[in-house]
Amino acid sequence: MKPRTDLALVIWLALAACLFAALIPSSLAVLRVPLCLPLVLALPGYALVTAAFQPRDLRTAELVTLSVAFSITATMIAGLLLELFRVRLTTAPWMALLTVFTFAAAWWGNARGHARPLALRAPSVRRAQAGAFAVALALLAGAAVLGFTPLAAPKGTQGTSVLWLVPAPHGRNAVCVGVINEQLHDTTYEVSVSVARKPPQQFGPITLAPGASWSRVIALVLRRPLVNASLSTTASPSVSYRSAVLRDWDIGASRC
Amino acid sequence: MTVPVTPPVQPARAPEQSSALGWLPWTFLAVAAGLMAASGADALSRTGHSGGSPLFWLALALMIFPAAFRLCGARARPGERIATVVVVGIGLYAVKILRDPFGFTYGDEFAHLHNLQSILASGRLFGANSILPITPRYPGLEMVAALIARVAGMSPFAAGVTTVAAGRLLIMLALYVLYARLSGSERAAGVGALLYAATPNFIFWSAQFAYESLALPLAVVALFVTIRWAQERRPGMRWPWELAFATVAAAVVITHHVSAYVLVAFLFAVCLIHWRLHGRAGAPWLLAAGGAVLTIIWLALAAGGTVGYLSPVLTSALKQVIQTLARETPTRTLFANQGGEVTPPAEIIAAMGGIILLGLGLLVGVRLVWQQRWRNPLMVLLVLCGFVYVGTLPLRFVPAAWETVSRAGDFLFVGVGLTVALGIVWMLERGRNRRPLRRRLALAAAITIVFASGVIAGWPANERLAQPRRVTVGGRTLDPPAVVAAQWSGRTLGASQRVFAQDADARYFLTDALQPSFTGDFAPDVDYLLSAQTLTPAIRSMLRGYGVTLVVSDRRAISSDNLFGFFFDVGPPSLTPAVPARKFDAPGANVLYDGGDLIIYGVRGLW
Repeated sequence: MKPRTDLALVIWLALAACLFAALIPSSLAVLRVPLCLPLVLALPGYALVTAAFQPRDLRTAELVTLSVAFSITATMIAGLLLELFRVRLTTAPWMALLTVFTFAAAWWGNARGHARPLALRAPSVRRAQAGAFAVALALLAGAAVLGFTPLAAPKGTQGTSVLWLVPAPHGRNAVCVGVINEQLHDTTYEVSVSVARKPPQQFGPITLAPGASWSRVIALVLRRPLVNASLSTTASPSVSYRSAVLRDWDIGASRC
Repeated sequence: MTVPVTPPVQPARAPEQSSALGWLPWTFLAVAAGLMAASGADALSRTGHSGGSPLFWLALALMIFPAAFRLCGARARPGERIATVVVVGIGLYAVKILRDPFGFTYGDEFAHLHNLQSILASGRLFGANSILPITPRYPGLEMVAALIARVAGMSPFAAGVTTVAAGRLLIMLALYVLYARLSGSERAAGVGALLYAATPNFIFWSAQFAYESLALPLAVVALFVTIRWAQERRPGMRWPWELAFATVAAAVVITHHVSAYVLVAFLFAVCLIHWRLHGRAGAPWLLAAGGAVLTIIWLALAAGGTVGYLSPVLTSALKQVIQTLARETPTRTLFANQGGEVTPPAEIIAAMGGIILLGLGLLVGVRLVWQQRWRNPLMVLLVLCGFVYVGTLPLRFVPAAWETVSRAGDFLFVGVGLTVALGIVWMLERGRNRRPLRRRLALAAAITIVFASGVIAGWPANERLAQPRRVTVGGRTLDPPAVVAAQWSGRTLGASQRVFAQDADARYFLTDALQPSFTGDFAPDVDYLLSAQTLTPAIRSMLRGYGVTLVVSDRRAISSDNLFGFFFDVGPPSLTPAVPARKFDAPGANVLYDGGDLIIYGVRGLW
């Protein structure tokens, strides 16, 4: 069944947006954006504007402006209403309420005789104009690819190495120790962990690429002892250049 | 308002009939080329190469000049004019996105991102925000972003960007339709909307994910609705406009406090001018009162803390203005950023030239308004806004008033745009047969200089281009130390921790660790706590009072910089003294994370 008026098309699109939002997994944003976004930014507002105003009262630009503004407003009012009735602001009730707004406005507009017959005309585009659009789109794609790609670090960028130490989660009598290499080059580390000032346990050499990390869970015999950890690099093994201390066991780690 | 609006200037020639698109493909191409140049400039900047700045200016010139030239002409159809204005507006917004492609990097954006994350996580409004406690009480922006994130399956960052893009689309459309209705000239509407992009904050500050970026466009829509309400003469046909005003004004009220107050004040000013010029009847009293009632209701029911939040800012600004006039405080140095880096001389000349051109345009526009239409109350008020804008420029010398004046400029420029556009159209129409092409070229160049002047005044030279926020090394990506620390803290210690940290670090801990984080020098005075030499009982009491479990000690000077602190430190780092940081390495405290200059202490045992 083909919609014959603008308001019928709005209802179709709102229904389709709800359906797509329910069926398409949220990981597929590429599909969900064009199919579902109109329900937030265009459809409720268009239906409301068409219902409230006679078609001849508004120029096209004014119709578009008010449609976007009313859609944003409808989203906010729907959110406030849900909050008022202690309904959590999740996808289903929020979209349902917006769809109800849209349907009600479209029905009202139709009842007032404001629906317009669909007359979609594609604008005539000359070959040169189409070419200009195509080049522009290619340039935009190039700008986006260059802009959203992480590039090499400038000379002199300060990286770092991290040593961390926390009690093991779930009340286990153990500690977690870890290293994160945030240097801009591969680095080889040595970790030493000392429990209750006893001779330290050594780990390493550990070679980590930039951004890589290492961790260990060390079981303890004593209950809540003092734990010291230190980090050195193989380049200067005698120099401890990071150190961590666990004195108070009240800190709760959720995971290692 | 009972005074009819009549067009001041009629189109010189009939619009082109040959193609509905007109020059739009070429304008679009120029904007796309500009964005490619902007992307190249940012790439050069974030890899530490020079040459980005000329490319940045080329980008802006490509985006503004062709559009200005076309909009100054008489032959474009309204549809082409609107599309041109929208393409340029969105294109300029993309310049900001290309500067920050991997995440938000403006201080306030983190506060709003946290509100958005809170809505998405809890499904509830009005959560807590430790950085800007007032922001959750105005959830309009975050509600729209939350629904976009849910419906479209976007990340909170992408949803925020999309929401502000919708705001940018809306303000360009709203300015166009407002100016078109007020002036009766599509040409003035297009030029005026383009001129609004010369607002100093337009390209960067007003493009951030913050409540004003959506509230201001909605407020302009409310003004448009007001003028349409005033122009509606049919008996019983004003109610749709009144309904429209109520809904849009409600959206402004729940989105941003200052925008709501400005809208209400603006409408009452229109009423008073109408009363003075035409008598009390016919003025938009109902709309002004409606806006005021909505604002008061929201203030009473949901946002009671707003007065306490805003009053210190305004009081401080007022105090410093008085002190500056009495020569008791030093003035702010213009064209210098926080680090003291001075703007290049060429940019200073362009900025001054732009201000002079803007002033001239304003004078010509005012003259025209005075001659033809000065009895329209909204037009009179917008012209007054233009004067006030120029009048506030000297206040940029006052350190505490600078920010307030800068933000007020966003509202006042709505008047500047229309007044100058009327002046430009008058200049184009006057003696139209004498070298029209040369005149259009000159005026398009003048608009481009005015725009450049706004960019220079709005954002310091060394902060316009992208900084290294995410870098690649051997195929792996690295984030700045503060991001790594925050993500580790959130992942390992969970969201139940409460944090004291420097400005930039606190924001990352708020959004990347989802841990309530406190910063700054007021309630609580975290700056004092971090810089004190020894661990005093007052510090222990402060930690206990706020339930703080983690203190992030960051000796890197950029961590207290709300502009550069969100990026990698490049070059030898500027460090603060080590002694204040070491005071937390005390009995009862843990050193949980040692990243060299950035250390996370567990301080629960110090309470």
